[in-house]
Amino acid sequence: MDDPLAVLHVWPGAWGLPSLDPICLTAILYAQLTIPGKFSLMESTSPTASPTGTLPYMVHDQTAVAPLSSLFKYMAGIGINLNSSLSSAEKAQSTAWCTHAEAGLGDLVTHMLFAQDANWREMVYPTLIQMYRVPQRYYAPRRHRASYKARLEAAELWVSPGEEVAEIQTDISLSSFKQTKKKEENHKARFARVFEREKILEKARAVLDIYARLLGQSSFFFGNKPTTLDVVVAANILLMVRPPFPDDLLPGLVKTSYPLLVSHADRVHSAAFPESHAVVPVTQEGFSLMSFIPRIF
Amino acid sequence: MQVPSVVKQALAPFPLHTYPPIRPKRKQSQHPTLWIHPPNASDGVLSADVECLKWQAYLALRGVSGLRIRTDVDAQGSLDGRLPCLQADSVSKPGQDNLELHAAHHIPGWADAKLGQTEDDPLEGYRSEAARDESRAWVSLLEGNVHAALLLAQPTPSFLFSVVGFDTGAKTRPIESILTPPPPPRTGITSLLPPLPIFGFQIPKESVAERYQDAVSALSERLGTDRWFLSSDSPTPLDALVFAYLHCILNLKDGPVRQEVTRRVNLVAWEYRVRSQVIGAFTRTY
Repeated sequence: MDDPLAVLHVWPGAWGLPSLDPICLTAILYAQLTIPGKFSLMESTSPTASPTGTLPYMVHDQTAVAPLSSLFKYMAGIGINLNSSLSSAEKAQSTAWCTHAEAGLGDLVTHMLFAQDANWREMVYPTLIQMYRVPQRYYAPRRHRASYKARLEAAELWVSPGEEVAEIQTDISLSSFKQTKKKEENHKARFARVFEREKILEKARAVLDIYARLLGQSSFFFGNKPTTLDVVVAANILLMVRPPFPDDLLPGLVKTSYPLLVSHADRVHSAAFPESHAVVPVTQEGFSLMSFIPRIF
Repeated sequence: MQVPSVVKQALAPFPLHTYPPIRPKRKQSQHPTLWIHPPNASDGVLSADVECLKWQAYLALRGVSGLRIRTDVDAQGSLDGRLPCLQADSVSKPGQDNLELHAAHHIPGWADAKLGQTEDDPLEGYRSEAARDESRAWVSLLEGNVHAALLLAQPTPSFLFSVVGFDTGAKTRPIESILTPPPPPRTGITSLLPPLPIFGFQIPKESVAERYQDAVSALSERLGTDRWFLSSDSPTPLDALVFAYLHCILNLKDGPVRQEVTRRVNLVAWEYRVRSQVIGAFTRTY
């Protein structure tokens, strides 16, 4: 090959998907649809080398391309442009829709991964621990979770106090005093939790209804080929339904009430990863002591 | 028990004066008054804050007129600790000094009552259900990409001022809760230094600027030569929001953020046309 392969740095994969982060998964699906065979994946847990400080970012021929919107333009420039069949008005609408999908659906996905207590404790936290090296695995996963807190709190999708109380109670305690307090607070915690779950379901339905109406009965959002919006929505829906979440609140909602969105996500995934195509080469990023050193500019 | 005379003599040079309590005057008004953050110009009526301006534009575009504005109230003095706040016009009864205050999210209901409309329209003034759904996408574009760029372009008080000055800590949404993906702490997730609040977050300025450029060009493309956004027949809440952001951006000092909008003639012309309609609905009281 004459051209060097572009290297896309992403959060590592889990649960049958190439990456556990919705934005990284969007970038991977987009790359598979626009520059298949011309890129490789590098699984990284340390985003400090990125121009924006977050993953994903792509390094190609000594240029580093960072936020997702720049990645879309760069990959469309060197490969296939998915939005080429759209009119200029549709392209403007697609920009707005992609922002809404990234924000609305992305918040739901990060809520499921990091804010819902059962999912975090039983599925995501053990997975993240395995991804980090030894000294970092004791503090980095919690910091990773805390970085989503401001955004989810503003969207009212963060853990409610009732659920936090439930978390404390799962710690092993020997004194009987704590046992009696546990019974009283369980009642209040359950009350708060039921309302909290209803609110989250309402928020999820408000966002998912919009995309269900936009998709309607067609195969893709604009026309009969996948465009950028299809990739963004599909990546988020895949992360809502494919991982084995212990808490079935939102996965159940998506699978039962929005089957067309699920089939759309599967369709985009199989367009990106057809069976006969070669698997994307994946490497793990080497451990570097520089990841311990803060880069305060 | 009696104060001992020794103590009385010792305290005699320092007499205690008691004054009657000063009760704040509750100014009832004949006209509905909107409490907002002060405008940039001393005689202007349009607030310098996007949130307040959005509600001003909403009321004006719905056709409510004869509104007054009040700019001398701090955010802590209003409902929920944030502005804007609507003080409804009330008939003053002697001996009663209650103010009828409404928080921002009750303004649409108040406007319905004022105009005598029962707002049960599921389309919320948009042409179709698809247009209403699309308006949600534009709202998230404005409140995400454009708002982040506006926050970065506005001058922030220096750290010394926020420590020494009496910073009331206005409850505006911080930038780290607006960006996707959320910015990591400046010390990094994997580093040995814990993420202390003093260090802040690593805000990617170039990526914010780029997303803002895409957002403005998409806005300009979608508006085209229409009278109102999304080809609506009459102004909608989306128009109020777009006007608020455009007006605040055009009031910034000349820089890349402002130039991005001034390059789009249709947006500038649209903002100019709507501005006169919004200004006409308000009069200053203070």
